[in-house]
Amino acid sequence: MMHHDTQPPAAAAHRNRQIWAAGLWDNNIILKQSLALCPLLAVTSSATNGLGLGLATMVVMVAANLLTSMAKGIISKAVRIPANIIIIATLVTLIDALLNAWLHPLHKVLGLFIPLIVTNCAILGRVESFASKSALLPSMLDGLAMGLGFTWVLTMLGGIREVIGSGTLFANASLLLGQHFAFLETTVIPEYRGLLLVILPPGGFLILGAVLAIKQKTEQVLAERRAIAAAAVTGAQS
Amino acid sequence: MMQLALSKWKALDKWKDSIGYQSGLLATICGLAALLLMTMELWTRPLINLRIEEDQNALLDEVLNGASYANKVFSQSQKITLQQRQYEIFTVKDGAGGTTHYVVRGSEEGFSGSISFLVGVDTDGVITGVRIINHTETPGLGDKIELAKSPWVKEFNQHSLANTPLWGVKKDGGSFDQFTGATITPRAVVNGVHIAMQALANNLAGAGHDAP
Repeated sequence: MMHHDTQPPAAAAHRNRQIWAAGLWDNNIILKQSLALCPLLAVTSSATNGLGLGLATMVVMVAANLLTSMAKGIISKAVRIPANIIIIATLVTLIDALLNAWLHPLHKVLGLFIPLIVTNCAILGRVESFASKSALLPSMLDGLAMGLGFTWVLTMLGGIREVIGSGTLFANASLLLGQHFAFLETTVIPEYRGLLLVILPPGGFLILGAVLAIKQKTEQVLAERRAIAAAAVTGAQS
Repeated sequence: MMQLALSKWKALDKWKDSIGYQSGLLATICGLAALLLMTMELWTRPLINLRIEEDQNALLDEVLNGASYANKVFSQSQKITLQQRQYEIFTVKDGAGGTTHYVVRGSEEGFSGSISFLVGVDTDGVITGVRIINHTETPGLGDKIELAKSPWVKEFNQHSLANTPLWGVKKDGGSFDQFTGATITPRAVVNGVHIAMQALANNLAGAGHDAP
């Protein structure tokens, strides 16, 4: 639109690093923004499910960011939300139909989650706060970074819930990724009777809470260490 | 020069805020989306139908335990109701036109929503296979009714109304296993298959030797 991506390479590289850091950790959709909790709780009963929904969401995010960034010049401010929702819903429906027709086994595994992607407020959030103000490439990169950040947290939560809840890890991964990935399917605890609570949505809340607490504590400890180190440096100087 | 460009831009911005532009914009986007989706629908619908048919036929092969058939099984059905449940009976024929098997499609309320299943029965009334078509049971617990998760559904093989006096899970004194932590789901499937078998038997008895 108005300004093109004419930054010097160093600045662009710095910006790209920031986008990656924001998506994967600093501004992570789940760990920091606490968005998209509904699909999170519903879907992450196993690592494979988390990975599947994460990847599908990532594709939608990249495409939605791309389209919004392209259309930002013509979409007026007052109707941007309905316009963006239509873009996202159309994308999701297209992906749903394409998967159903061409990757039917994958669709059978993911089928339930794909329509859920429309209701994922994180996608609208990225479109709204990033892609509608940024150039094409950074917007796509943002979608990719945020999507990957979403995917790894979903997979991790799914993995934790799966190990505690049913004693397996990446069960049925070959249905999602193909036979080559059958080696991922492991039984962590043989003859395990399972822990129903962890598999059900309330268990998702509990595990998510524990993960968030660990994250907060880690960041707090790191910040304290940094402060002590900084104080030591100033102390030595004076 | 700068000034002119800026004022032009402001005018455009103002125009973009007008009701006319906004409704036109939304209408255009909706129109484009509808066009895109319609094209996609036209293109993928036959493919998706083909996939569903393949799925159904794969399931049919499984419930018939690999027995061959010559007719289009799912093209003709007989609907019957027993104990407020609807069942569909399909007839499987060999090349000579003789009936070899019956296939019953039914559904039963599980722990969370209905479980639909397919039962293959030979002409002696012995089950050749049961498969779950669709369910929304708890992942990791009730979903062991899927063959992909557990061999449990194979327990139905070789059972018939004649050789199985008590259709129930072991907890209820029957002959089918329940799952650890989930009794309601297998109980529902056993119950559903039992009523489906009775529906088929009633239907065959009612129709006499001219069974469909």
